[in-house]
Amino acid sequence: MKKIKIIIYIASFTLLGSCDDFLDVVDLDTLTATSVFKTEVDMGFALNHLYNFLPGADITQEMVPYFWTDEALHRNINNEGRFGSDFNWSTVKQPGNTYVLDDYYRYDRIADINFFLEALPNAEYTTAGLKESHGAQARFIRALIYERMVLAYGDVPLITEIISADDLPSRTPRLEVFNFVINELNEIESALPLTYASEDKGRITRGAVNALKARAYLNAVGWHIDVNAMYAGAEAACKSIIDSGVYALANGINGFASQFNRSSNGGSETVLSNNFIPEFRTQPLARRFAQKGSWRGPQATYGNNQSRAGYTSDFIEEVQTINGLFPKDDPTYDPANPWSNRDPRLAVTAVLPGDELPDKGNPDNIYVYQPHPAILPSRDDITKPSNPTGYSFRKYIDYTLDALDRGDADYKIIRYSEVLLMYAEALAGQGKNGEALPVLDQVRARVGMPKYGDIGLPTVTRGTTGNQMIDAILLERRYEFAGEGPQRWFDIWRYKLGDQVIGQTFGIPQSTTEYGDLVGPKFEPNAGAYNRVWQDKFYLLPIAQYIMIANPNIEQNPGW
Amino acid sequence: MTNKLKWIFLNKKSENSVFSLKLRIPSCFMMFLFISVSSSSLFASGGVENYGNDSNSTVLMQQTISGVVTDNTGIPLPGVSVFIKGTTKGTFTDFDGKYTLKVDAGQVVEFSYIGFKSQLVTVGDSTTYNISLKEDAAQLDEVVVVGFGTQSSRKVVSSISNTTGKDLGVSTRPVTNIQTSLIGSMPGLRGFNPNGRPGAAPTFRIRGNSSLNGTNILVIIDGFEGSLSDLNPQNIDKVSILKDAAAVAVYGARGANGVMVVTTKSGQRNQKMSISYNSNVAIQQPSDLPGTLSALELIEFENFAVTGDPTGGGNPGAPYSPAVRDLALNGFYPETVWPNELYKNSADQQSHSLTVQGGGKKASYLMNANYLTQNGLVVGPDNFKRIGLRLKLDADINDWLTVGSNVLISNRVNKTTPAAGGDGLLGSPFFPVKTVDGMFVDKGSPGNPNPIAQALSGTFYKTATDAANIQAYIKINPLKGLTIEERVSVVKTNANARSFDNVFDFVSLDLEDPDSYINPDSPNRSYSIGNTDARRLLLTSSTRYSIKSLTTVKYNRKFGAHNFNALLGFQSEKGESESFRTGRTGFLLDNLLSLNLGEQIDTRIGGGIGNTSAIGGNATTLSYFGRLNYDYKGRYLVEAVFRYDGSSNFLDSNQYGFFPALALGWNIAEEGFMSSANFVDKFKLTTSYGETGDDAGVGRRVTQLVNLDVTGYPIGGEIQPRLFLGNPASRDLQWETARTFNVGLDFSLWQGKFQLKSEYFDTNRFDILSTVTTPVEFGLGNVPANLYAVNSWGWEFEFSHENNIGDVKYWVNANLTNYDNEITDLAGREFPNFAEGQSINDRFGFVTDGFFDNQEEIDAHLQEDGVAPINQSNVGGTRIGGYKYVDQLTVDTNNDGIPDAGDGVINGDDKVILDRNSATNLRIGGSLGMSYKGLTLSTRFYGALDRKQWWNGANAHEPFLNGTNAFDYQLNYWSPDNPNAFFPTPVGNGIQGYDSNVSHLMYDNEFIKIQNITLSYDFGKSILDKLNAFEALNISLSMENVGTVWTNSPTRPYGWDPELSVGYVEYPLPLTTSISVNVKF
Repeated sequence: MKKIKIIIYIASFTLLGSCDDFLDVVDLDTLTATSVFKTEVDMGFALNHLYNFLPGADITQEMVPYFWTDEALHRNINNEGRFGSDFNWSTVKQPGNTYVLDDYYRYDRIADINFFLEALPNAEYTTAGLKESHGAQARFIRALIYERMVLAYGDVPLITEIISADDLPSRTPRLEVFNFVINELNEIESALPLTYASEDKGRITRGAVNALKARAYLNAVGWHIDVNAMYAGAEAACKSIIDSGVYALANGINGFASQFNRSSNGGSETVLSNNFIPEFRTQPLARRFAQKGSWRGPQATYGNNQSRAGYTSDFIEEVQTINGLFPKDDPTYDPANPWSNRDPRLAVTAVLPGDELPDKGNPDNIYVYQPHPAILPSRDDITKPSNPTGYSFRKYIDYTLDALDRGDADYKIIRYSEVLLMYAEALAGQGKNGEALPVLDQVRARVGMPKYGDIGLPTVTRGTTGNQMIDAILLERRYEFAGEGPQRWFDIWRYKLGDQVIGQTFGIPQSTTEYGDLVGPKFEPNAGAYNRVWQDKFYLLPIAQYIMIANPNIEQNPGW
Repeated sequence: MTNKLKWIFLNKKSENSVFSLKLRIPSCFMMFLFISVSSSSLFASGGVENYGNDSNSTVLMQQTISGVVTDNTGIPLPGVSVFIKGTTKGTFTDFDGKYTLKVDAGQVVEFSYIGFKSQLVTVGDSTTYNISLKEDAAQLDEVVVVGFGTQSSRKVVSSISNTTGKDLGVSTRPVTNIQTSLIGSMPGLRGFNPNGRPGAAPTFRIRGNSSLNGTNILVIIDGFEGSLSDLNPQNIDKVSILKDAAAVAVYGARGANGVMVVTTKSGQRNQKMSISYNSNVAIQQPSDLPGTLSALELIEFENFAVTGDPTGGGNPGAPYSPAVRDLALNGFYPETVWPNELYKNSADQQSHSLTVQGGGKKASYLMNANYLTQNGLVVGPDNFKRIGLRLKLDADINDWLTVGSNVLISNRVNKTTPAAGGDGLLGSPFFPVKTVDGMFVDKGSPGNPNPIAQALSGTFYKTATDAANIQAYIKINPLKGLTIEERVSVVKTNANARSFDNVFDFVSLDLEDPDSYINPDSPNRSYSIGNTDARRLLLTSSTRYSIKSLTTVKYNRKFGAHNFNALLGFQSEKGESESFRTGRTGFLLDNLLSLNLGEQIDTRIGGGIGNTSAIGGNATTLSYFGRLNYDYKGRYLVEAVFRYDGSSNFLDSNQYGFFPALALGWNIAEEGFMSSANFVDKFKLTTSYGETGDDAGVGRRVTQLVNLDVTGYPIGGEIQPRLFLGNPASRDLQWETARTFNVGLDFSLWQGKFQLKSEYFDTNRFDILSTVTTPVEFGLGNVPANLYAVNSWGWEFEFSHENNIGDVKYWVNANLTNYDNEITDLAGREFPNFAEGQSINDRFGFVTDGFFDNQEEIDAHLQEDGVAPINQSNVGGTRIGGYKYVDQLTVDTNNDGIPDAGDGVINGDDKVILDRNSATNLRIGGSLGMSYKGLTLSTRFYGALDRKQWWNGANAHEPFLNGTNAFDYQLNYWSPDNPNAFFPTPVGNGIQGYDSNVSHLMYDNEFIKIQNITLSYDFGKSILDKLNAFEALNISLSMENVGTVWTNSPTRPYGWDPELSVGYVEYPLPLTTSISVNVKF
């Protein structure tokens, strides 16, 4: 033992502090709720988060209801199969499953807004008027969500403050929710400016408040007991927008086409939009809609199994010729050369058989979009997983993008042309056809279509409201808004046109010589395997079962 | 947090100071020991040199004795220690059991060997002493690793299963990780192979699921929590799994899910230095791959699905034209089976391990260096490498003080390709992998690239993990029977991942145009040129650092027939982790992969900004624990255990939990009245009851966190920061507790020839940490709470038999385990498939009553009124060849509170529990073997019974979504000739539309697999003498993953491995054949 010399130093020390707080750790990269939501800076950041709740530019969000209309179908959204477009809305999904209807029951967003609005009175603001403006912006977004929920579900629980996790609210009558929306919009209107200085551009404007109000009134036409008051409310809201002089239609068909690419960002036609900027906040609509042969970008790898959207032949064949007539009524219509001399908006709205598009391998090369299986090269063969109808979407596809999943055009939620058409409709609904007609013609004239004032109103036979003026306005809304949002959904729902317009869908003609053959046989999506049959219960969406299980006070809509 | 540093300086002169150390242990949480050892080697003097036979002193009467030590059957025993009693002089027998030793006459020599009774011989005149050692009945009395120590198996009263590296055959099997070798080895240990990727390892559970959250087991390696993946399997000495409350209570926090305690090999005192080398060289071959359709089969299947006619029937909407069908009939198409193209026929694997170990009287040491390389079966980058170094030293500084260290340094590198498995692997049989002109071909599904092209493109995903695990300890014996030990562990793990996605050119061919297959200028070809913008390099780095300290005080005393063993301990843990990820795209070159050469930021990371980082994991625990063992003459055993645990996952008064357990045992075989039945070696009854805790169920969710990030909404053309609430928190969270009752029977007959061990347990788990589903209208999401309770129970059974017939020794052992569970309390928050009385793994869906075979059956499928048809429109409609759904009784017509009628429509309320507790509950495992002289043949097996698989995922039941080919089992659809089909008649080539959560799609999936067959030969002395180089030599031939010997899975004939899932072309488990050499110098 003595041969070994060992010196031991044993030192014990505490590494971080006394024992008492060893277990009280602080997370290093997150904040706690008690330390924020206190100043105008915090609240500004918190408000910024709420802007993400604006209707989103994606097929799983704002576009879904469009596939429930007679104009288009999309049979595989998020692998939900026909749930996308055929009213095959299963109510039995479990929580956590992706579900196409989830986007219309947004109490997660309502709760975030309510939390913000409850924190607002206690937050310290130094800038005059900012607190009121922040509150108004948040309340606008909440009103927008409730407006959509009333349309989709009818009665929904009206929740305007943070509730306990144990609360089991019941559905509030939709009239009450609707009145809340209108009241809120009335109350915040004066707190929001008509326009913003450049550093605040993109915030909610007074114009957006009135446009939403007009939409709310018109959508209530379908169920509200006092239809006249709805039209009158919409008229007043639209008139104040028009009279403000802030907005104008972009010029010509090029102005119309520019609405779907970045050149219109911040433009005069936009009343409400969800905004994007290159690189940092982009939207995937181009990838969602693009044709197989022109997919580009790292995520352009989707598209099996008819996961593209397609316009129905009903829509394509009802787009007027340049003479303002339906093709079937226009003797100058040439089925062998069907895409020329049509409403110029058709070429902006759809990719049609035979169109030349940039090739995905090298965008300088051209590939020919050809869905007909017997016309070579049939790279977009309609019988293969591709496009269910052969008529493809084009709005928001910007072929100049490096990657189609990084679209940078602002997504237009409400354009000025919609304000004009809502105004016309509100007038027509009150019998003021004389005032409505020039407003409607203003929208037609912008793209070079003949004015109905000159050629007379069209006769709509499929999906008529019984009011020829309103029919003409709805027709114009189809041409104007096809493939860019849910407007056609609003129209069918508020005028209860479902039984007239929903049914079997068709794609391109089978003829190999006449792309625009109106009378011969047509291809059927999925070779006719599915069919749409309208039921009136569709006017209200089903409530997913997991919602009702988690809250037994929520009752299902009739028929589901 | 204040920083009060408390320094305690201990003077070496004051031996009493060790007590002051002891006293201070509980008062402060983290002991850190600096040990400096000066100058002379601990291991030289007084150690190794002191034994042996070259004594330098001259003593009269000294003589040299020699002889052979054998067992009772005459087989020589190598490594028997032959020491002069009361001295440190001695030697060990060589491989043939021979020894020589210089002794003085009259001295007593002790022959001892593990598993045998020691023998004492007084040296007389003779110079030759051949000794035959008798097997010790106490051989059965092996040393079992328990929490913070060891116990003799005779005295174990808690529920522990154990095995050894030797039993697992890790030195002869081509196993790349310890986990793989553990499958089926012990009752209560659950885990199956996930897939066959290099480096893939099963995840284990101990006993059945008993909680609603993840039940990760605690893995203790050499005293501290560790990672099995860093271990070289050949370094494993012992593995124990601790199952009941009494066994795991000392581990308290996170012990509730069971504990696996792994001990690695160490050098031993008084052990001659030995150098051993192990080498294993193996070839892997893919096992079966699932069958897919030929071109003609696919054409006819898909045409039939769309048009009702395999030829398409002239329908212009038919997916394949008559011309294509003619081409297929004429054998034009290449009939590519894509998985077969991706997986090679063989891949090599090898491992090397070198160990130097030994010890003197005062110190021992072990050094092991190991290397493993495994190439995968995929063409392209696919391999796994591991390098490891383990150093263990311990030394007695004086008769009351021992110090030691245990260091592991390991490096693991995994390289793979995204093409290595999955549903993207399936391609069309119409297209070749490459054209005759050398272009890669689009396999027919634009969403998924040609996997062979992807694998060979230079795309790779590589992860390198470095782990350094440093342990030091100091052990003090101030009084007889009292040991105080302080152990500190520092673990640093660093994982760096580097993923590169390359691009490649490919061509799409037109299957209707044969010319496009051969003519580069064909107008029906379309070329895709890889866009360099899509080249992407992604770097991820994560580091984790933890420091843990463990202080134990052990006291053993014997008062006559009363034996006492006490343990007191204190443990603290602290950790921190940090990670970042960044990526860029747009690389001009694919061989110069420097991040700064990417032209664009990768906007998919960090919500568009191209990078993310996180700091976290700074959770702490602080625990006090103790155990008292008492026995009277080894007959009556009592064990009392407690743990007092603090966790930073909770607040204030909820931070600490107290978890006690009590175990009792009765060794009936030791009783006097059993003395006539002396063939009974062991007959022991045990029972235990106690509590353990779990703090990890929902993580740290006691403060409401708020997220701030810079990826908000653009205002004024610029992205703004946004602030939003994180997941809801609850200040009231507290410990989840498991209360376990266990009984065991342990039986051994005829010197261990027959052994039987069986156990039954029942666990009540309450205050389960779980997120509680809130009404959707609450809006802030699910809330963490301690509301639920689950009861689980099960039994385990282990049997072994071994015997010698002449020179032939044989053995067989088997284990069988079974579990079940039931949700007992949901605090009123029930869902149809989550309710009290149900199990936590129930399968929920519609009951189907076969198919509609004809129109009459459809007409007869009526509602209660006998008139209206049952509405199946929500679940795919009503059609011949489609499922007939059962309309459950959901309507109460007579208001007696019991539903007695269907509602006429198949909707959500018709879903019921189809399969209670779908987890694989009944498992078997075991081994068989025999040896004859040096030759040993052994085999191991494992299996699952009471197991079903459910083909409800789109991959399993949708023939046309899986890529561009279907599996051959999907052809088994309903037709008048095939009424008992797997699937309904297909409709269209899109989504089939029927609900796949149906009872019909649930099939048997029980199996038994041969895990390993090993033939090994130990070279005898005579051969080794001729070679004159080795002390021991063993050569083994081994096959791992031999395959399924029995299964009732209906997909087995279609090429599916019952251990893996159906519908997903998983990386096949390789059949590995190896030759291994173990030599000792």
